[in-house]
Amino acid sequence: MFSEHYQFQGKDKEKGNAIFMLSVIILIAINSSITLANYDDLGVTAAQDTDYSIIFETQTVSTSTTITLNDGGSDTIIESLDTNWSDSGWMLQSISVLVTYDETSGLDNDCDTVTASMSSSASKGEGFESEVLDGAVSDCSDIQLNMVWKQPMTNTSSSSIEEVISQMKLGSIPVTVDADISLNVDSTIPTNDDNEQIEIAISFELVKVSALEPIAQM
Amino acid sequence: MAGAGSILELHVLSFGLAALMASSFIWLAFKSSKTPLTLRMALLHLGLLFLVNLFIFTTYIITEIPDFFGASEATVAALKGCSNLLNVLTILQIGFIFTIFPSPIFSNRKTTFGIGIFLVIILVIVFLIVTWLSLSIYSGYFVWLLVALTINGFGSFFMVRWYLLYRSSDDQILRNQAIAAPLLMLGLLGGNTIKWPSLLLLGGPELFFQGTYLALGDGLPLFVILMNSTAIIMPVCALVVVLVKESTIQSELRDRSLLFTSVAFMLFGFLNLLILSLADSDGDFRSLWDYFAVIGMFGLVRPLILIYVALRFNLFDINNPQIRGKVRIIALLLVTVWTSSFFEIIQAFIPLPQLLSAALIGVVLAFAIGWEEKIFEGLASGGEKQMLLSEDDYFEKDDLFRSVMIVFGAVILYLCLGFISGSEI
Repeated sequence: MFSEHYQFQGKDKEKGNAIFMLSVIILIAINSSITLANYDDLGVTAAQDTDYSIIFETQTVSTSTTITLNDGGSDTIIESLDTNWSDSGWMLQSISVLVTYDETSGLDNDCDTVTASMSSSASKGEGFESEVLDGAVSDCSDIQLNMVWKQPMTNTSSSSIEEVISQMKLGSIPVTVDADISLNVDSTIPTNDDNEQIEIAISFELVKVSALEPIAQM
Repeated sequence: MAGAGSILELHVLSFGLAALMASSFIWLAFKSSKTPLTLRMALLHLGLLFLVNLFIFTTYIITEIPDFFGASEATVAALKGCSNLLNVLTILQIGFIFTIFPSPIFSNRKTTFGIGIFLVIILVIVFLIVTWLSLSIYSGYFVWLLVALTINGFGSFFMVRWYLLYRSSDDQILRNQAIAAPLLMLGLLGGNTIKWPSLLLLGGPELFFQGTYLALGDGLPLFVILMNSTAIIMPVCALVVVLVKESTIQSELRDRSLLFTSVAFMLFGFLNLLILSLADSDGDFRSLWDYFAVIGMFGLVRPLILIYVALRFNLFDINNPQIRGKVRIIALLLVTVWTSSFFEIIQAFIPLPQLLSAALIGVVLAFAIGWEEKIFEGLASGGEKQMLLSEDDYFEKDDLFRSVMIVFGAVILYLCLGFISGSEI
């Protein structure tokens, strides 16, 4: 099997190699014994429940729409996220609807009354935290509506990303959000204040588990 | 202190160095028709090793600045998987080189290739089993450790055996075999040998884990610690053997270059231990040092040692005027890139003004160009000597081309496996 110069060369010539091999084996045995004996003190045993930190990616998907309403008028804005997002591992952390408008009347400064409400197809589940689903203002301030899920865990004892994702209690995708907006003009001057412009911004805050990293403890 | 910018620049320079080494070694292996085929095969496989390193440095550069290349997070994750697996391929290549240099250790060509193919098949099977059946993040590292343990173990043993059998031989060629073997080992496994102080700290895993991407921490399995430390102990023991033997051998047989190289590794290991002991383990300096101690070893020190081995043991036909002229140009290019890389490392730790740095590079280059001429004149006088054992009928001439195609095929296969595994391995 071995070439002429690499074959067994007799006891005398091989003595050095035998000593080398024996020394290596002894050193490996000593090292392994010491490591085994000290394993608990090295801070590397899986004694704690939390072994990995979860690394997240975040992304916000926003759309903004401007509508024009007359006195007593209303409109509905619909936004949705399809299964492409969930297929890529994204989950829903929050949905928010921001309604903004200004008084455009030229003859008086009385702000109009804007009413907004939202509804969503997202199931709330165990991890749901809070919601503000409707609001009305008549002082030209913003209306902020939202649905928020609890912040996900940041540590886990599992080493499998799939298992960690299955434990997440966030909003599911696909999801559809309906934002209903209506307007009542408060001006005392007839026909003074019509065609009011209202801006509606709908945002989806998304998170995704990208990696698990062992928690270092030197 | 410099940070990511320096690391990127080192990667770019190492990429350039690997490209030069790969192209020149492969070209020389094909062109040196008067050189024995066993030596040409060794030279070719050293070139192919640098070729795979070239791919690895490419992935490092892209993942370092993904925005510049328009790489998405998914692409970066896949490229990291590729670079990890290509590193495994380089270890296999190193294993193959150990079986054919200084001269083939197996009796015939079929045994050499047969054992190589058997190892690759076993590795692919193990990879598929641990990747597809196990979801542990340590499963990929297990493959790496398995290969490293095998190659480090057998590689060190093969090289030390050449060394101990023939270091004091009366035959000059056999003595050359004994000198070439440990030089090759230091060139290829040098990064492990600098951890020699671990022999004094048995059971202390911090030094063993320096430069690996896994940190010691909760949940690190015992088998990872044991396999990792065992893979390092063997080349470290080989360094100790060379140091002891070279220090005690009769003066007329002493080889200065081997003694100098092994002492340099020993001193670098001592410096490394000092930095590990004194520098803050969470500090920037320490993380930068860990990085350079590992990447610098195979990016800069390896090319230097392997060029020396190729020149000293006549792995190519230096007396061919066509080859000689081109080798001088390649040598000048290598000296330039290497010097720039070296000063890049110095600048990372000691920020020098650009002007001073450029002046120092100029001074070093002036000396290097002068030495280069002397070295070539010296080599030309001994260029026809047979320095190592050689068997012309061991390999077939077509094995040169076949080897290139096999490595290209392996790179494609490993890139595929890397993309499958993503960054999980």
